[in-house]
Amino acid sequence: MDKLTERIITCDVLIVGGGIAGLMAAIKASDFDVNVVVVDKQNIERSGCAGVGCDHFQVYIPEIHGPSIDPYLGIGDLEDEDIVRTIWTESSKILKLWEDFGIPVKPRGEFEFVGHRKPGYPGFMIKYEGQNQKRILMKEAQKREIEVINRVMVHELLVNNGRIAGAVGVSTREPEVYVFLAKSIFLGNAYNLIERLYPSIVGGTLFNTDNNPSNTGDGQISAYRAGAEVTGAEFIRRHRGVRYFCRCGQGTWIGIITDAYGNEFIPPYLGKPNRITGPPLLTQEAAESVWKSGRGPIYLDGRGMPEDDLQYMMWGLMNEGNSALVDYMRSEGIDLRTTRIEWGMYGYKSQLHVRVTSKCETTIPGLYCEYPRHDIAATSAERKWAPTFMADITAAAVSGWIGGEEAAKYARSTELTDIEIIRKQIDGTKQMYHEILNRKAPYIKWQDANIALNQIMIDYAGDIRAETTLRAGLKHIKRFKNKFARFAYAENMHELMRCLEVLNLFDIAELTFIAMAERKESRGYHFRIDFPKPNPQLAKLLIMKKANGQITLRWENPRRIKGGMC
Amino acid sequence: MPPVIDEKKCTRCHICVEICPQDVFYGSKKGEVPKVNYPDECWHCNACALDCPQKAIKLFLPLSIQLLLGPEFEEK
Repeated sequence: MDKLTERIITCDVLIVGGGIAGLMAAIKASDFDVNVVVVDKQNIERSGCAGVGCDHFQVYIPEIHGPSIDPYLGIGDLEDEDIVRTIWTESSKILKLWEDFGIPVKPRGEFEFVGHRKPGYPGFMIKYEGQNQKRILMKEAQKREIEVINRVMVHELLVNNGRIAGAVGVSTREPEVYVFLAKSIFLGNAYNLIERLYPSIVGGTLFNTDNNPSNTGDGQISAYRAGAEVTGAEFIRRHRGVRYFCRCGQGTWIGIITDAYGNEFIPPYLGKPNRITGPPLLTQEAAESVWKSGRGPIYLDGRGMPEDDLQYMMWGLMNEGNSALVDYMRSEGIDLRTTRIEWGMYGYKSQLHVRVTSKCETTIPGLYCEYPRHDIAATSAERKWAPTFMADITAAAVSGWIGGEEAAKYARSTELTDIEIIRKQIDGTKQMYHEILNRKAPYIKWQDANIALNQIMIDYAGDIRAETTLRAGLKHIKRFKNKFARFAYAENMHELMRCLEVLNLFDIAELTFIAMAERKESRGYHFRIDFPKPNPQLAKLLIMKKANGQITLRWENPRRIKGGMC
Repeated sequence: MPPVIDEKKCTRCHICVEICPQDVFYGSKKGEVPKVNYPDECWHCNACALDCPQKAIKLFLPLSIQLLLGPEFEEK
């Protein structure tokens, strides 16, 4: 391939990732008379996890729920209280804003608090029509003349004198390297669960994942390499849903979860007022016990539900990004009022995230990042079915709004870095891209490297985790990472993006192994064969940071608010 | 087999090429019917089918991810 050309983009605030958080950050930042650029490796119209929809938004409305959230608030052992409270207190403001933007948050005229809860708990999750929400947010960004650059993957962050200076990325379409010079950066690509680190449950597929398969942790790991503190690497988690077609939206289905004999074996869950469905509490242990006792398979049984429930569920699925499933069921003549469908667990994903304050500040001045999605340690079964369990899109929207403002204010107080000062960092990254694009045989394609990574992760850092296997796995990962770095080959810019994603995943894998080895206990999503019980002294976050090229670790208490109120 | 494009309905507008999150149509030439050059990277998100102004695109789910049904299901 010919030489890559360099394109330099200068701005006050750079937003990396144009998903829900990124677009909210961009819209808010533009209020502060700063020049904002959004960059996304996909196309913001359909990018990210909510690109084809989301049907639920968690919100606390004092007029409806009462003057205080406290009666319902459950702060997880490893959660920062200030972040949890901020998500709750800001949620109704953000929802109002979405309503003003034209996102149908009251599809039938009123807020519908529906589903996503155990019986007996008040509803905090509204059902809304989110299929085209990205397009609506994109139009809001366009109204404010925010520049959007699609199909560019930001790969490295540039730091000078400990402060953010910009970023280097690569076009996924044209032979171009992008150099961004920015006064501040908001990472909107560092919130959601990291996919393609562990294998999909369906052999031979890399892109059958419940979250967007291009969520390869680019934001988290670029921030880490730039020197920011990260945490949560050891708490891998899995979702569940219809068997084999990995999709989010477990709370949208209506029905009960049963074994082959029709026995319910997990606690009930409300999918619609007065309609009980089971999905979210299915755990790996419960699923295994059904299969191992000869009572499999596991079904979602919605037989006998009324027509209006079926229509409601189908409408929800369309808005939750599951229109492909709806189309499939229609084309096959599958009627859920008469037919059960099988249910099962999906693959592991990483919850590594950047350590942030409630103002979205990272440990690098000028670098802001969205919040973690929710309590990373506690499993769905352990979590109180109250507010904290599923901040999801609310956390992205709230932290985008807050982080966008903070990034804009910071940008107004500082100057751009001279490109010549960071030229060496830029050229080193460019050289790496050039080598990957021009490699001669023997070489390694990204798919092979991704599969090699997946099998080490599942066998050495999967269901069975112990000191010896974690140590062996870390060695394998380091060796394969170095090999892939030396032999990676991309035929074109699209494949270069995939190579960079897999290189990022290898870096994440290394942190995962180290964190799992360091956490010598079992807690929620982290299970150690050799330390099967929780250690109360380790009810802390394991913070990882790169310093002088080495990984440094320290334990930190999650933040608590004195007196209980913020 | 991910997106299937009805060539008779397709107007070559390339909206699908522009919006596909995984860029499975990478390398498609302007003025031609888009080609699925990276079928293994399809997420089956349906964005292409949803946004096609001509409704010329349908997903055909791979056998490996098709739903598994209870014994009461009768094939039509």
